Amino acid sequence: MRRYVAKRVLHAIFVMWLVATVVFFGLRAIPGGPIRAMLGPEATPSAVESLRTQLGLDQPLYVQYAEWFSGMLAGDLGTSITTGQEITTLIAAAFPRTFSIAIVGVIVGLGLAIPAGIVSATRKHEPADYVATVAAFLGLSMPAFFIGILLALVFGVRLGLLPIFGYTPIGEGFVPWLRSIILPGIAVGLPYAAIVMRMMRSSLLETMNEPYMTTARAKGIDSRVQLYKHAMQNALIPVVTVAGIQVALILVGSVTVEIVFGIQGIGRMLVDSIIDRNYPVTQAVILLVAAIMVFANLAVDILYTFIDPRIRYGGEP
Amino acid sequence: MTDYETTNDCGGTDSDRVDTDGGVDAEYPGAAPPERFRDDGFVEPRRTFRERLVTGLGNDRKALAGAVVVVGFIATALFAPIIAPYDPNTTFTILQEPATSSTTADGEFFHILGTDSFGHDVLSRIVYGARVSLLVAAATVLFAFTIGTVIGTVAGYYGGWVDSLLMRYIDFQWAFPTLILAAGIIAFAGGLGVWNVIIAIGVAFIDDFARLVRGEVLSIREEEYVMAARAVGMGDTRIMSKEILPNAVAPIIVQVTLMIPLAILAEAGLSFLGLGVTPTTPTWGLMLSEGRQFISQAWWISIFPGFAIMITVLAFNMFGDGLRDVFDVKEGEVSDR
Amino acid sequence: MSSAHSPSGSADADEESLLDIAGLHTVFHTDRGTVRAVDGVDLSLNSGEIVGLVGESGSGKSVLARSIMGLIDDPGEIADGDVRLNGESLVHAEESRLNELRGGTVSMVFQDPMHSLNPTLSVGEQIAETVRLNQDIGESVSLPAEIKRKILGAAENSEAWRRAIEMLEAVQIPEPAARAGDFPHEFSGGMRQRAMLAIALSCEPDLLIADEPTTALDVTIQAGILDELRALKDAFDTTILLITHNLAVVAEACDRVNVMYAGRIVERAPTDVLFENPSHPYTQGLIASTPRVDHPDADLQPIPGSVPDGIGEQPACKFAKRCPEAKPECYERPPDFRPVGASHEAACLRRGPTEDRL
Repeated sequence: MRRYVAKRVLHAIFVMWLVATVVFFGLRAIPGGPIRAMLGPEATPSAVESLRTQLGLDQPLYVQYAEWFSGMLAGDLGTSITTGQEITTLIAAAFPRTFSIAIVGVIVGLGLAIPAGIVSATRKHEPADYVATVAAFLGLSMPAFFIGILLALVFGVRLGLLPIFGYTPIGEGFVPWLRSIILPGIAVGLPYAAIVMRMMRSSLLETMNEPYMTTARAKGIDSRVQLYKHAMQNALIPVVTVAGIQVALILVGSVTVEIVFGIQGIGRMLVDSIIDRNYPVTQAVILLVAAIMVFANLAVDILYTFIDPRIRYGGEP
Repeated sequence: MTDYETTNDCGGTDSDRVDTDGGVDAEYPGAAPPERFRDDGFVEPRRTFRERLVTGLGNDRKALAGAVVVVGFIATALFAPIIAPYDPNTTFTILQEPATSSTTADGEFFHILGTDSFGHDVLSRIVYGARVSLLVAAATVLFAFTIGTVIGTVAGYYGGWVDSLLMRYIDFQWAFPTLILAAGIIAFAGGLGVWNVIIAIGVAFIDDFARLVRGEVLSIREEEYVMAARAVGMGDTRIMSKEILPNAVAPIIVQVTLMIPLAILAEAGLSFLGLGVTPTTPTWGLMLSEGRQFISQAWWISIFPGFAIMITVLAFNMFGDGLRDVFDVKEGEVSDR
Repeated sequence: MSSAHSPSGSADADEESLLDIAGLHTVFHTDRGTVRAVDGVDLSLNSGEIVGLVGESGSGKSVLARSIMGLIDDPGEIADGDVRLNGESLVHAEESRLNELRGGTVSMVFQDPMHSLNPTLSVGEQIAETVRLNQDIGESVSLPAEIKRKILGAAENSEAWRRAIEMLEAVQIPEPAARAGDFPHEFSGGMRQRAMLAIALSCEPDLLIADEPTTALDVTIQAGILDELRALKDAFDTTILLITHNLAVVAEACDRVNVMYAGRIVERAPTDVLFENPSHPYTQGLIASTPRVDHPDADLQPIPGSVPDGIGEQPACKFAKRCPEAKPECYERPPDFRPVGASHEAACLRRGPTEDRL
């Protein structure tokens, strides 16, 4: 197992390096050059020169590359063109907001998906199953930002129960914080729940048909014990995979939902930086997102070792 | 050496092939049976691809409903000028409520779904929005499909370092959620507009196709008829295009059907963020974003386009799901050889 | 359509048998029609014997096994007949009663050891839970108890675990105490099958049904497993129903044999009698098509045609179409069991005492 974990960690590091490198070259490959793109066609030569020096683009490529990496590892992500602030500071302010939404999203998502998937599979073709399956379809078909707008309309405008604009940091109280992110969190969590639920259902159904489940029945084991002791662990394996991969959905959802609810998170940062052509910021956010994805996948890989004994004790087949 | 034809039926013919019982038959070692027992075994005509598809889908109400709506969506997109009550860029009174009429200097105009903050008729913009969605979805998927299939086939077929290299790329792409990658590409391509959107989303989808096709090719590559083709000296490209790909068609079709709604959602997302099509183009995502500010006074500006997205995506998903059921059930038989 | 209930071969008619199957019909409702997988079977087992059930794939033998255990689900059902274990009807029993009996009184070993063991539970646990379930050792098997056990870790010094290790030793798995904590994927094929035997026998059942216990294994391992079966039968006084398509296995391990074809039993005899003197044309064909070490140059005669699928109207004798001795009447008159030797009977109109023969 240690070998397995080591392999996955190395792989993760490799991918991060690859991503950083591609982003590095991507910036420099912009048609017309990044400087012109940022400053616009009427930029004066001196403005171009000073920006170039400021960004270190006048140095030889390999020097730039080395500085880029050493800077990154030291935690220096550069400065924003528009405001001159340290990007790391900006991210430190924005990230907790996105993270809050994401956490609520994951909790809501898994909290709905797993029980729903189990109920759906164990009561296949009964009304409960149909309801859950239809709900999952709907969840898959609505973009998170639309769900957000609907929720804002119903709970914010019509019922006036919850705020629909802005974020309250947790420092100002748990309940106000929760109130400010519960709607965005649900909006982000529902499409996620839909996908995870479908996988839970199909995986459980498949597991129940495995020969070892017949063995369990032949032993006279109670059906609830069969489900939870014999089937669940096996059925969860593909579910964990999907739950990890679909963190992408949560991230994407957060980005759009932040706009709906006026929350100044990473998503807002990304969009603004693209519109303003604030490339250093764009770069940094993309790297951050990739890092989250890679980390999430690594976490899933490691989670496997707890769930699947075949990985934990890789014995002979 | 027979030259296998590549038809849409994965190389099969339309003639019914009869499945008799095991081989040696038609003579009875002992006394022959009376007439009514003579129809031995189970004579089941080998159903062709098309027949299976039609029967399979015909029995699936969900898939049929989806198919109907999909056709409706395509028709709306194609015949937009005829279906839309007004031109999407004509302005009437702003913020008109649904099912009311606006009065301008030119007369009274009825707005089923109201008007937006610029005075455009919402229904007309939704109808024309279908055009953009269809165009983007189709072009995107086509783009991703073509490139992804080539990458996947080459990687799966040749294996070795080619495969490793291509897989590294796919791994890399995997670290980026679609929307983020697309946004990044738009950022670095410098500019909005439909074509940039198509390329951005298209590139983001390549890894899905590549991985799927690679998987299929890997398993088909080991099949006997491929070995036979190689033993006879058939060239690689020919093997890939005539032996392997036609047999991978079914999962690829399912994938295409399931990626279209994802493309629609991606375009809507990009446009919603202001990173998609140019600002005045009627597209559902953009309408949602414009309507966001008016959510308290004029909810209809966002809500109706939102439902348009939902219904279209839902229809494609239901249809794609039905397709997947039809093909998966007969997994081993997909090649009609 | 069941064959007439005959004074079955070797069992004493008045002694109560351990297992008594009478007129069993198990069907499956499919899109193509209703498949009669078990089409009227009578079978009796007495304590202490190893009885073989031989047939090709499609003969219905596995379905018969599952019918006994009550493991037939939608779209299948037991349409008629009864299965009595120690006089108690299993077909009419409640699921809860069946659960009580399963594992403890009647247990089953399945065909594919690789996939019949749960990959996420240790082998020891899979044995231990059977013990807990079926023996009165005071360890609970309710869901809360299982959860507690999982969180606190299986008590390695519990009675059930001790017993599991004992069983592993009984089936000749080396280092049983250490191996009990291992998972199925860490065992080789032969050892997995032994582990399955351990599970099945851990509660000393009255009846063990072994469905193709050696099919998935190397020939060299097969002999070992069969020896194991015999040894365990002696040690635990278990009756074994051994199901297989492999005649060699039958010859090696069984006291008497039932030959099954297309959902029905067609011949019954003690093992040596069957091989010396096969009577039913199907049995004769089966033996003739099996390569034999002692007749290496004999021509193999495959039986032409294939097993009928059991849907729709069938000829009275299901083998008639493939039978070299078939007469027209064979298609119309149901073949009942005729005595053809000592404790030996065949369901064929063309066998039996001369006056009765076709």
